[in-house]
Order: sequence, then structure tokens, then C-alpha cells
Amino acid sequence: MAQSDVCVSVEKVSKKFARSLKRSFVYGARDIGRALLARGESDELRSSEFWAVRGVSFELRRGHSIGIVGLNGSGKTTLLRMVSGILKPTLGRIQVHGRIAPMLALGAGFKPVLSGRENIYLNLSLLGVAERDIRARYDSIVDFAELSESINAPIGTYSSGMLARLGFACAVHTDPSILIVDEVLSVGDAKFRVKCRNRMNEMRRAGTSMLLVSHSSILIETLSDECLFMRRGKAMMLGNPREVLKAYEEDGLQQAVGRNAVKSIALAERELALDTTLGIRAVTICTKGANDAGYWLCGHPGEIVVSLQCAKLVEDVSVNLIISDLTHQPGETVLFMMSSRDLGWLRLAPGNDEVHLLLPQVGLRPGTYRIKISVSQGGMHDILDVADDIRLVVRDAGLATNCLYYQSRDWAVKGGEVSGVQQISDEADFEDSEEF
Amino acid sequence: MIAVRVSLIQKINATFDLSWRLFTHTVGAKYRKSFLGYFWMVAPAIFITLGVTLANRAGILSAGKTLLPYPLFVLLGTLLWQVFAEAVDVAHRAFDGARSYITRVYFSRSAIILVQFYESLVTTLVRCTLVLLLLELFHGLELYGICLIILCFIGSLLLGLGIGAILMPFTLLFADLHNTIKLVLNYGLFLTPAMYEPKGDSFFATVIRCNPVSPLMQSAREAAANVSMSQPLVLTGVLAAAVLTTILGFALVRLVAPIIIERMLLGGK
Repeated sequence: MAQSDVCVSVEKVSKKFARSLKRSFVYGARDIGRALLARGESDELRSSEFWAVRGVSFELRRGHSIGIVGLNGSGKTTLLRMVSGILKPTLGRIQVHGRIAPMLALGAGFKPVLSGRENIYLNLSLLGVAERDIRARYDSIVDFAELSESINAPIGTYSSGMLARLGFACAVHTDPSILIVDEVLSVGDAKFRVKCRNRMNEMRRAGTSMLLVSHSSILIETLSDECLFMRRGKAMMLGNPREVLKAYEEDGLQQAVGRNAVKSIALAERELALDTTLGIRAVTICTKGANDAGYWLCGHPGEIVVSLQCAKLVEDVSVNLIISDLTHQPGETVLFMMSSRDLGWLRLAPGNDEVHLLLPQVGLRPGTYRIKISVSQGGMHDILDVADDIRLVVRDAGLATNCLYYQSRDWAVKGGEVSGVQQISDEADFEDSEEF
Repeated sequence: MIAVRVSLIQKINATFDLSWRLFTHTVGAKYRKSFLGYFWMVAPAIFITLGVTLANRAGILSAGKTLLPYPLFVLLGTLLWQVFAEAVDVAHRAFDGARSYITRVYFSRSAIILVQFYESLVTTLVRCTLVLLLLELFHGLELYGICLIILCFIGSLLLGLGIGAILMPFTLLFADLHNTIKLVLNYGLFLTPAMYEPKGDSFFATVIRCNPVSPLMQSAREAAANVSMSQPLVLTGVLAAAVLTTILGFALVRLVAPIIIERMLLGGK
């Protein structure tokens, strides 16, 4: 029957949160009152509230997997928590048939003072496994976690890797019908990670359904049958992974370009104070063949043009860039470049000047980045002007698959020759290819 | 309708099953850290009793004629109050202690409250046993007395548990409330007949009589002294209230747990 085939059914689910902590607690007390009077929650937003998830619907069928993509803050984790039963939806309905193994909760209930053995029993009891099943699977769990020597020691003495392995080993032995995976599991060494992947694939083949949240398009494409793209709590698109991922990328790019456009106008229209020596007037991101594209292609040339307006002759100038990651490790500084170090001090003539920064081959991996540009003067780097929060999208051209960054390289063969055709992965799917 | 009821019974069964398993698997944890586990359960009450008795002997503190020898009088009262006071905190402690995983895994929330309850039950039985032993040694006890004293201890435990469960959603949300209640429980001992009999019609005496734990203390002492009960109806009322508040408390927790857990997510891990 089609109905029993569906293991997770999400119908027009919405969830609201309050931004301010104090308000949240006050509303909590009021909501308790409402729950007691059996009154449902309202559709309206009280002061300081916002919708973390709004009107999302989808169905997960037995044996299938759905990948969820979206920027941080798009509501993915909240949605997963609701499916897991941890949070209750404000509106809408969620129905789950079958046991869920949430990978969001590796090592739930672990007590440091107890031994690994006791914690296995504790953790699996919490995850809903019957006592005799735990006994039956115990040896397999210890083997999988590779902890046979230290299983009787208190887990307070375990390293973080050992803890993670134990948590994961317990989770995969719960025999779930639905796996919920939040972000790529990066526990243990490479060998263990391979084991985990293989185990998850085995479970998938055996008919376990999966809900996967990841920033990696590769993972989503290879592991999911359908893809859901979320933005600001709303479901933007649900369908074939390749198409949805493309739309996600496009959307990300449009968002970035849109933001930058607003920023540019703000920069250009800024009233510079009377005593200002220098002001940034525009920041343009160019890729070969498309000026002001707003994006770069990973592995291909990319350029930033900083337009400056100088009131008078300015000496000892340095243009500095900080590029930080927004997609993979939010907030982490990835590149820090100073023209004074690479080029030398600049002397800028009064009027309009331009500083071009060309990267012959963009090494940044595909994703969204944030650029902060500052113009400074002198050895102590007195700041003359700053342009912050400029979005840069680096698009995939198939050259940095599975890499942390793109490394330019040359291959050479001795005693052989290159016979086949270059195999660039079809991720390089864009209109401008002819212009290269 | 029947299908719904069966499911509720199944849920309740599952809750008890989980709580028992969690309890048996963690029983070792608490006592692994301390050597004198059982000692700490009764030490505070013993010290209070010693202090007050010395003061009484020295003529500083006069409680008049009491049903039982004064030290036993105070010990019984103090332990009954402690059982109640600690029971009130059980529900709050259970959720607070589970913060790290209650926001990440779904399981029957009442189960962790029950785990704390089992621990409190063990503590209560230890205290009760101590009192019974001392009463038998220094005073003599009838079977009827033993049964009633045990009943009063259980009643005190359930009353505290129920009140604590009802308050728990609010104490988790508002730290000020939690601190106020802790203060009241710490020093509320003086508002009970633990150390003195409520005599006369003064406001203070009335407050002591109105304390819900008072009938339990009074009846327990009368049972120990082998005297007929002076407040059988009130005692029955308090015991019934204890059971009722416990059931209501757990029902409330089931209902509002998601709302609380959401706030726990916001408040940080």
C-alpha cells in the first residue's frame, strides 16, 4: 500500500522561535498555559519572533533518501529536530513510522565516570533498543568501534576520537528504519570514516531511509534520491538532486550579487567627509569573459577591482583583503593579502584610481565567501577606508572535486603518452565555457 | 478510543521500562565518586538532631514535653522534611542534568524523572530504616507503628515529587523562581514541627500547622509513640493529595516537555 510505504510525512510544517532569550522564556510560560487550556498555537508572530521553518512539506519513502541543502540559518537543523520528535511544530503535522537513529546525537547520555561497556547499554537504552538486543549486538559494537582494549575503562579517559567512534558504533547498531545525518561525519581517522560510509551504504541498500543535511554537493548528489533546497525556512525546491543543486547554486549567486549591488550603491553614494583623503567607491568582482559577474570559477582566473576616489595625492598606501569562509567553516579567515607586501607602497593620484587584484588561478574551493577590503597608510597601517561584507561566490568548474582548495599543477609522463580525452566532471556545466 | 488507550498504556509501560534500565545502568555512577555514599544520606539530619538536642539539654532551646524522647522527635521530623524537600527538586534536577542529550534525542521524558525518583526512593528507604532502627532500639515499636511511619515517608516523597513536577516547567524557565524555592526548602525546616510542637494560637503556630508535611510528621510521631492518631482525616487527605499531585505532575510534564526543551536549546548546551 502506498500509505505504509511512506515513513516520514511532513505536512505544511512551520516553527517559530523568539530572538530575545528573555522573551522566549516569557512566551514559554504563556505557551504552557495555552497547552493546558488545549488551545493551539497561533499563526501570528509575537514581538521578537520569527519563522525558522515556514510551510514545508515533503514525504520520505521507505528505502529512499532526501538531501537537504541551504545556507546556515535556513532552518535545516530545526526541521530535522522536528522530524526526530525533539521539537514540536508550531503549525502543520509530522508523522513518522519507524525508528529514527539521529546522528545529531552521537553519544547521548554518556556518563564519563562509567565504563564504555556501561555507556553502550545506557546509550542504546535511550535510543530505544531492547535489552536483549543490546546484549546480542554488544560484541559487534565493540569491534566496529575498535575499542576492545579500553571498553572497560571509564569513558572520561577516552580521547575525543574514541568517544566519537563509540557513539557512532552505537548509533549504527540501533537497527533504524530512518537515518538522520546532519553534516558529514568527520569522526575518526580515514580508515574509520570509510568504515562508517560503507556501513551507511549497507544500511541504505538494506532499505533504511535517510535524511541528509550537507554542504557538499557531491555527497548530496551521490547519496540522495531527492533534494530539498531551503532558504530562510521556506522550501524553495524539491526534486532531482542535480537540478535542485543547480538552482541552489544559482540562488546563492543571485543572493550574493544582489547584496553586492546594494552594497555598491551604498558605497558609491556615500557622502565622504570633508577631510577624507580617500574613499572606496566600488568593488567589482570579475571573472574572465564577464566583468562584474559577482563570482569566480574555481581553478580559473579571477579578478577584483577596487575603485578609489582620492581627494589629493596619497602616499604609502596599501590595499588589504581578508576573505573569510561562509559555507564550510563560517567565520574562518581563508586568505589575507596586502598589496604592500606583494607589490610595495602605492602612491595614488588625486581623482579616480583603480587597484586590480588578479588571481591567475583561483585556489578557493567552491562556496560563498565574505570579503573585507581596507585601505591603509604607512607602516602602522592607519586605516583610511573600509568596505566590508562583500559577497563572493566561487563556482565549481570540476577542478577541485573533493579538495580543500585548488592547487595549480602540471603532469608529465616519461615513457608513455597521453592517449585519452580530458575527463572533466560534468559539474562544469555553464554557458561561458566556449569563451575559454 | 480503545486504540488510543492501549497506546497510552504502552507508552507508560515503555517509560517505566526505560527508567528502570537507565537506573540499573547508572546506579554505579553516583557512588563511584564517593566512599561514604550511605553516610551522606543521613549525616545532615543527624547533625541537626545532635545540635538541637544539645541545645535542649543545656536549657537553651525548650520544646516542652514531646511525644517521643527529644532526639528521636527531632530526627524523625527532620528526616521527613528532608525527604520532602529533596523530592521537590527531583523533576528539575532530572531535566537540568539531561540538558546535553535531551535536546538531541527523542525518548520518553518522564523516564529520567523516574530515574531520579528511584534514587530518591533508595535514599528515603535508607533514612526510614535508620529511624526505625533507632526507634526500636531506644523506644520500642509496634508493627502498626512501623507501617505507618513507612507510609508517612512515602507520602512525603510523593508529595514533594508531585509539587516539584508541577513547578518544574516554570523553575526551568525562570531561574529566580528556582532559587526562591530552593531557599524556602532549605530553611523551611523551621516552619515545620520538626523541632517543636505547634502549641497555641499564634500566627507562627498556625503556619506550622498548615504546612502539608506537618500532618505526616505528627502522625509518624504518634505511631512511633503508640498513641492513637489525632488527625486521621487530615492524614488521609494529605496522602491522597500526594498521589494526585504526582499523577498531575507527570501528566503536565508530558504535555509541556517540548516547550521547555525548546528553551533549553536556546539557553545553550
